[in-house]
Amino acid sequence: MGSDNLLYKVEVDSVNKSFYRRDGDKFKLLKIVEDLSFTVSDKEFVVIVGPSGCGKTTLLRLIDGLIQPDAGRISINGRSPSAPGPDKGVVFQSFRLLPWKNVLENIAFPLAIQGLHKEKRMARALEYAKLVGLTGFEHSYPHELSGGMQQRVGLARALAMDPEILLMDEPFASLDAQIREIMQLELLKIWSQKKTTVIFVTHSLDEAVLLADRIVLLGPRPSTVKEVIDISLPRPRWTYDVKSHPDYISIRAYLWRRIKEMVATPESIPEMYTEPQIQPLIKESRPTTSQPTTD
Amino acid sequence: MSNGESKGVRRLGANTYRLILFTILIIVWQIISMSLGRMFLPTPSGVATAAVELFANGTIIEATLISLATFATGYLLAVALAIPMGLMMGGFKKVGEALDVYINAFNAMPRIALIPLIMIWFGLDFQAKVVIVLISAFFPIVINTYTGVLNVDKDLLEASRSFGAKDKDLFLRIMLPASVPFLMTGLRLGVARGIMGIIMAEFFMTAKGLGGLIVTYGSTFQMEKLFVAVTVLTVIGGVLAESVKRVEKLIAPWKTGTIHP
Ligand SMILES: Nc1ncnc2c1ncn2[C@@H]1O[C@H](COP(=O)(O)OP(=O)(O)OP(=O)(O)O)[C@@H](O)[C@H]1O
Ligand SMILES: [Mg+2]
Repeated sequence: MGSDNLLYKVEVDSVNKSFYRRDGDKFKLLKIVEDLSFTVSDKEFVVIVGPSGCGKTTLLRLIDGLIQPDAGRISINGRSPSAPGPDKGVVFQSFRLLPWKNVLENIAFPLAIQGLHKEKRMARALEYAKLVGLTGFEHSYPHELSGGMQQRVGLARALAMDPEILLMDEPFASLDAQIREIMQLELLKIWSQKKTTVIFVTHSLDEAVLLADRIVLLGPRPSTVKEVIDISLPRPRWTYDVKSHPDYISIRAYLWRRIKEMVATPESIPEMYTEPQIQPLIKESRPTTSQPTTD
Repeated sequence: MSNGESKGVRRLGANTYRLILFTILIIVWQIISMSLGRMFLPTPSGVATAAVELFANGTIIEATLISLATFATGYLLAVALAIPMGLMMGGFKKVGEALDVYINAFNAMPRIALIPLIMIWFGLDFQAKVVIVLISAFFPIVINTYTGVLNVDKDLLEASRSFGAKDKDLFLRIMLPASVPFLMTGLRLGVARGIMGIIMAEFFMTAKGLGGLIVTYGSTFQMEKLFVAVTVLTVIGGVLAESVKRVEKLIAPWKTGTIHP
């Protein structure tokens, strides 16, 4: 249950964030996140769902402490502001592996930064490579691996840090459907063993309902929380066919309706919204544009 | 049929074609030179005879060693100065911003314009030639190292910061290794520029080494020997550039897509 004096593991409180965006020869202030609040309890699996470009990655960067909010507050374990560090492990949307390091060295990289002794960190890397199913690829280099394998490395790297909070940014978005389902179930298994707090970002409604304790639904940019939905599907979820469970079907249908409503009320999209194509529809799969650029 | 086998067959094919082309060229060369006269274009057989003579009496070997020694000294000095400087420029933004304009300006200036000055400062022999090789090879190395550090993937830097990396870690663990492929390109360009430098120096200063032979043979119309010297120079340049490329593949395999040994 965590320490009793802590109500929340992560608390996002009325956070605002804008970026300057070049518009011709002028710079315009573009609101990405507006008055966004939600909380995450210890060992909870929270999935954030929102349309493309609504600011999900930005939100994770804020939580990780890589950037600071313009207004509002983000507390981790009741402490604020958040600063990057080994208490939070991030799995990035575009894998971000070091091309000059092999699988084990990549997994061990954050541990090396923390100054862990070489033998210890390599042993740990080996353990986590095994956990995510990378056995046999320990000495491969990222450019020799498929996207699915690369993201396993990204996952193992974050897990090996033994973080209190796992921040996952559409980790499976660029994988094909089959690998994706396998990875989802593996993640559930790992999470049930490790019991870390997870904040998981996705486009996919199916993925959200399958994984989440709670779903935080974001609106189009500037994103705010539209709704928080409890998912009470029984766990463990890899032991039965979740997708034909009546609750799964009704929750998914409900989410779908909510998103269609959001799209149908364009007043929520301010004039600032200047992107060429508005694509707030939730996509089931994404083009593999987020592949790493290792060459 | 296995993949390796078919590849082997194809490679054999390529070499066969190369050999055929080579033979045709030699024959065409022989015919043209016989019709034009050897003072204009020496015959391949004449060049071959000259080559045997020059190798046997040690002329070529000695000249090559002189050129290579001068080149190596200047090149290594250039590497020793250019890499730390490029890294400093990339690692410390202010240093980079202060220096890059001047470096680019110097790089664009033809090195030959400096020869009179270098002769006044460093004389006509070894020292002066080393300086010419040094300033020839220095710029491509410093510019590429600097570019390499600047072009590091920002996403990798952010990921590392997320894992708790401080500025020192970012420089040593990300920027430095990420710049290696660029650095190697710089080293390769530096070889080519350095060889141009040494030959230029041997042309304009004391006529020693391969450059010296070329000047001597050229001005005395010893066409066969001139061809031998030029060919040796070509081979040396090719071998040096290829060696750097090999090293590059060995230590930066992720850029070339080869399998790491
Ligand atoms: N550093 C930055 N400077 C300027 N604009 C930025 C910056 N980071 C993000 N943005 C803009 O903020 C918006 C939200 O970006 P973000 O990456 O957070 O969206 P996302 O929800 O993760 O999108 P996707 O679903 O495509 O991953 C985008 O329009 C993006 O261009
Ligand atoms: Mg994103």
